[in-house]
Amino acid sequence: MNAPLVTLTLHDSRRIYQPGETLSGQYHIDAPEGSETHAVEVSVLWHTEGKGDEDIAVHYFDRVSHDDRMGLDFRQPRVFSTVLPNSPLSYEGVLVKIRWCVRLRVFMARGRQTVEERLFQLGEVPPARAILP
Amino acid sequence: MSAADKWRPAETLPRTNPFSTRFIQPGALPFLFPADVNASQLVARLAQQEWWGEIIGPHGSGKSTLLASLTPELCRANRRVVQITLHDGERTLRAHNAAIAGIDSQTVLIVDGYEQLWIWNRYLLRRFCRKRRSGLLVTAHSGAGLPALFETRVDRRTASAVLARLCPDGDVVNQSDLDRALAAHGQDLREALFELYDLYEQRHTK
Amino acid sequence: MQLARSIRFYGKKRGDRRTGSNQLGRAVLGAFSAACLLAGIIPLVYILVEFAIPEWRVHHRFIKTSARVVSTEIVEWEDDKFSPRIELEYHLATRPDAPPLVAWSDYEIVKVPSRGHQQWDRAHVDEIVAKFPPQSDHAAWYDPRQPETIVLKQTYTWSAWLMLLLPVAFIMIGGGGLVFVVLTWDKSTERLSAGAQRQSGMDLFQAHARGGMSEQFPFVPNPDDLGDSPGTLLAHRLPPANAEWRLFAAGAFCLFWNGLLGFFLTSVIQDFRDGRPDWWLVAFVTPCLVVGIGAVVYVGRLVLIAGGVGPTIVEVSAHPLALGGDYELAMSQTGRLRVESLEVRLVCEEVATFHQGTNTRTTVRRVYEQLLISQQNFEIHHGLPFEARARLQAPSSAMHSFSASHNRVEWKIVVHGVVKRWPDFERGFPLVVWPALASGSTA
Repeated sequence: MNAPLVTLTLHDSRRIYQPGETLSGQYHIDAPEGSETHAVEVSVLWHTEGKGDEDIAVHYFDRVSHDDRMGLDFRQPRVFSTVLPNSPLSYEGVLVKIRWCVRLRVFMARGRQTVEERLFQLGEVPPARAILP
Repeated sequence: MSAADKWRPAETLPRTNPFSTRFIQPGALPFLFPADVNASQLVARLAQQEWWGEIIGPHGSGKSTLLASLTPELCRANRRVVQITLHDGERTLRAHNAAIAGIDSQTVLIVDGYEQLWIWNRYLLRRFCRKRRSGLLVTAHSGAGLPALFETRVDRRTASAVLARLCPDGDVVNQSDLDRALAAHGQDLREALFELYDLYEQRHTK
Repeated sequence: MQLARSIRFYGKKRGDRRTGSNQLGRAVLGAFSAACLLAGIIPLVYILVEFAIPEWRVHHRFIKTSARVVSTEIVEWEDDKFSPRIELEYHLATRPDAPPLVAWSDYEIVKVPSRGHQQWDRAHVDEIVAKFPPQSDHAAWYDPRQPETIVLKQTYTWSAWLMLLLPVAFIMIGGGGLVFVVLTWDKSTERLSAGAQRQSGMDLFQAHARGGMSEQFPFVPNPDDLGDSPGTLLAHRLPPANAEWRLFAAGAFCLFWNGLLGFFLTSVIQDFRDGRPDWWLVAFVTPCLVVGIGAVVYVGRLVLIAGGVGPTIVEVSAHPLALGGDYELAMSQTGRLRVESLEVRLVCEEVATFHQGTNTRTTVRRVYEQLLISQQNFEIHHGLPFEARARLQAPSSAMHSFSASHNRVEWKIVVHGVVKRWPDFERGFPLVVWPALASGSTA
């Protein structure tokens, strides 16, 4: 079974946003025969990366499925939009890094899923360096 | 204005440290089996032992990673997997009673860190699993009295293979760094990878 | 110290507001310390009176003489216990020409205190009596104050000396607490405020990991969780991080550990005395003894710090801080100290917790530090605290406070003191730093 072609883009084609700004984008899915899309979830979330266990929090979430709306055509672009929060800002620390992204999860026939992500930066916090003793 | 204040973010993706927890935690990396054994063979052996077994090995030798590799095979063998991970100081299964209550003859109960339980609790657990005819697969640092399934150990070949998966280019952290880290941590691969995290951060910052 | 500060009936604490609760708190601390002191003194006195002093006197005050055995007997007590008695004839060294004295000896000076005699098994007593056949001559030691008290053996009951570890631990904790109460009973307004102002010791950042977040700034700790604590020098007083639970925890551990250790040590010593050493028990007890001694030393160190180094007060002109903002900081240090250096820093640390297999580890890394105050070679006198102020410029390009379940970015003020002939001390005061605010916003 071939994977669907997922196109996810952010409007303005930029990667750096400030708190309080609107993040918007669109997606569409070209699914080949036999791997029709049943549902799509769009999330705007942050997760940590580094030496600690991963923390994750979803700021925006939207799920669209054929069960909710008949005749849905995922080949047509669908728009999402959210106002970004004041925190936490993106951060490139030493032990702790905070990454913001838009994540698109596509649910297909027979329980298969595919995930697409677009990273973006919230705020302009410079990278940190360890202070050596 | 400090050097940090002069920084402006480049329009590029953030750098990822390949030794971050998300890349090295159990399940993130597949268990690298020796040439003569694989996951399905181990599951078959476990079935012959009536689904009872123990995985033993020193700290950071991949016991939890092996469990993560065996779980899909157990599901393919039509077993229902219930996994419990005991952390430092967790001597009883009180926090996991709800998960354990529903085990039956189709279940394989996995207890990661079995030896942390009080001896009495281990006895009660074994008795409960026998009563429910459930499977029991545990990890421990030394023999825990269950039929042996596999013994994990870290050798240079395995460690090198892990490094190659995490850091294919080997430009920031290389084999000699790994050898030094393993030697410093008594062949504990997990601790060695934590050290390589710090080394990667230091070198990338420079 | 912590006990006094946690007992308060009223929410506020300084100046002409209610201070009675602090007096009650101090009184309770004094009573607790007195109880600990008593719990140490009583067994100490007991051990000294029943074991240490009599044995010492035998070695250093009793006079040696030559004694002839007249007769022996074995006394049987209840529970199949026995003790030897040897009748001796001897001359006093100070009166060699006087007629000899005849007196019964209990063989050695130490007896079971509640019984007044030894309690040995028959075989051991037979062995002793066999060494003293009638008409044989032996060295003996008599008490010059009571010449009829005479012994045939000089001993040291080492188990009793080791048991002193336990009452000594109690005395240190109780005595240290009482000294603290006495020295600070007539404390200044600032000291009353600092005492009552300590919160319950709840870690601010753990509270936020459980959801105490600011609504305006998600996953930034809520500054209200620090408590509404106005300062006397500036607007806000920062609470210290993880108040002196260490002293209580260490003290409790020390008492418990050395108490248990005493029992095992007694058994070891007794086995050696009986000529049947249990080497497995010795191997087990030896490292435990090291830990016990280390615990006493550690608790002593904490008592010294808590007693000698008074409260540290840190206040800021506004809280929470915002990145890029300008603030003022004031600090006050009390105590009786000869300070080699005292430094106050604004510090940012990353804290990461990970579960890997069955291990749980937390790593901390400092990523920012700014020296605010530095002072060298000065003295702090009781009742005259050292005070200093500094400008606090929150960096514009740094990470704000952040708290999630496994990862945190923490800001704090750290006060580090190097004191002559005293352990160094370091105290942290957590604070919340918001992201840089847009113009027109206020903290």
